[in-house]
Amino acid sequence: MIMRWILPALSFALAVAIWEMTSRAGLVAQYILPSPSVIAKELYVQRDLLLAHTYVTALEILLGFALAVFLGVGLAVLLVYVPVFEPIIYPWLVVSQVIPKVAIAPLLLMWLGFGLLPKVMIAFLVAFFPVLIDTMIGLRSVEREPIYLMQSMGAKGFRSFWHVRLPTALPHIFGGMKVAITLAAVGAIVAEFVGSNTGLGYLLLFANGSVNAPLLFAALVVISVLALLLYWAVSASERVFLGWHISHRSR
Amino acid sequence: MSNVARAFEGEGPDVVPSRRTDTMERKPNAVQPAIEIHGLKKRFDLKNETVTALNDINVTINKGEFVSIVGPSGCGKSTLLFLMAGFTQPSEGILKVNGKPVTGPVTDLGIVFQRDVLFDWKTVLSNVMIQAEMRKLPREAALEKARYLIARVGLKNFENAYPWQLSGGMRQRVSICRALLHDAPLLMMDEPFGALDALTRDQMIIDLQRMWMENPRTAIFITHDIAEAIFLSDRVLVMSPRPGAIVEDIRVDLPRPREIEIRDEPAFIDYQRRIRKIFKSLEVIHS
Repeated sequence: MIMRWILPALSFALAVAIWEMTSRAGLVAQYILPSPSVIAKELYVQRDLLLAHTYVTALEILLGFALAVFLGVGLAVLLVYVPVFEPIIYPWLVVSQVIPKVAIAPLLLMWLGFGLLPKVMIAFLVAFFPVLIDTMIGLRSVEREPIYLMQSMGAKGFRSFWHVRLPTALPHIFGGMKVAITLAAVGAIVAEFVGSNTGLGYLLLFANGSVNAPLLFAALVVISVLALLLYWAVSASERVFLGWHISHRSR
Repeated sequence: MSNVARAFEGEGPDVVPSRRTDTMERKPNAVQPAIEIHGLKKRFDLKNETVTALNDINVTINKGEFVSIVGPSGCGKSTLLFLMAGFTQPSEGILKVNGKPVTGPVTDLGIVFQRDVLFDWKTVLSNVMIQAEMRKLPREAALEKARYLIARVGLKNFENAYPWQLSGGMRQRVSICRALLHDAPLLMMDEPFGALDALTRDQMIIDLQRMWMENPRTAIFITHDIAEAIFLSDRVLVMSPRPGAIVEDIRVDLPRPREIEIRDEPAFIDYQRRIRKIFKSLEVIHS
């Protein structure tokens, strides 16, 4: 309890207090680094604006992430189960990952327009690869004995996949998903930077352009909280599904 | 009963000699082969060479027999078991289980591996029940049987425990329950007690013997432990180092149930000495 909650909370409170004091002492100008109380006030005053933009960004992140998990896991299953696809598809995947997504963001905007779609696509592209790689590793880490055991019971194909391969791969898949959710957030924000009139990324640029440091910081706080909540959600579902796994056993 | 068998029982003595082989198989008490192996070879293709794992195996295992295969590490015992279970295919030779040539995984069996192969995400009971689940056996009856078996190996209070909460010996007991659940006519065990400490192992072989005697069936038991093989078996097949071949087929005539103290008796020691001598002549054991 103390280790888990109280100590982190204390260290956080201390950091905020020091920040507030240096700010009030006039050591840093408010337009460069506003004090926590100013940011807090801005968060409250602009709550409707922030919430509206948060909704857009959250939707982009979630759609991009969902697509990344769905296609990442699906493609991994295909590559592992149908070996002939690997030499055909895998090089393309690697090449697509080597190209910086940020660099092709303007291109996607040109192709897919100004709306939600290009942001979802960029979030997906950034988040997809770790899910694919980790799922492939997971699906391949099954020993031969469990597969033999299933065969001796007359279970092959989908049943063997469902009862052995997928649960074995699950810890790896969740590892990939945890990386993916944070990357999807980065992808969505960057995509909004490139061209957008809504979303927290847009708000950040807007506040920056109008030298509105409190709003900029308020947006930053919201982005951080949003990313944290999303990560927490993935982590919590991991605990539900992987209670049996060595990484989650009650110590 | 068929006409032929009836003929053998009573009338027409002149019929008997000409139909002898046919009628022999139909007699209820006649010895029937469970596994027949002729000229079996297994080769593995590695990068630069071909390794012969098994060289010319010829053996018949009869129904209801408890047969151990004992041999040094790497002699191909497990390979032979996996061939009999149909997980892998022989390079040459004939392999029949219950009269049918093996072409794919044999499903008429219960199997115990070296490692327990329990699923970490299932409880003890679910791990045993997967056998019934995959075979689509009636659930209620299977559940009752599973609970009985789990209690029989002393894990009554662990039905809802997860494998990681159990010791190595307990885990292997669960995997034995899983192999026994569906009353398969064939039980295959691949060095099931190899990873356990000596005391646990003693208990395991006593438990295994008891459970096997409750419901005798063809059992193939792979081990590198000579005493374990003699204790459990009706027959001990001794294998040579690679390329593995069966060099001796020893019938163990000791009354059952065997107690752990039987290992101190002269007859038991004689068997042990005999097998050790074989390994010495094969230079598995150097002086």
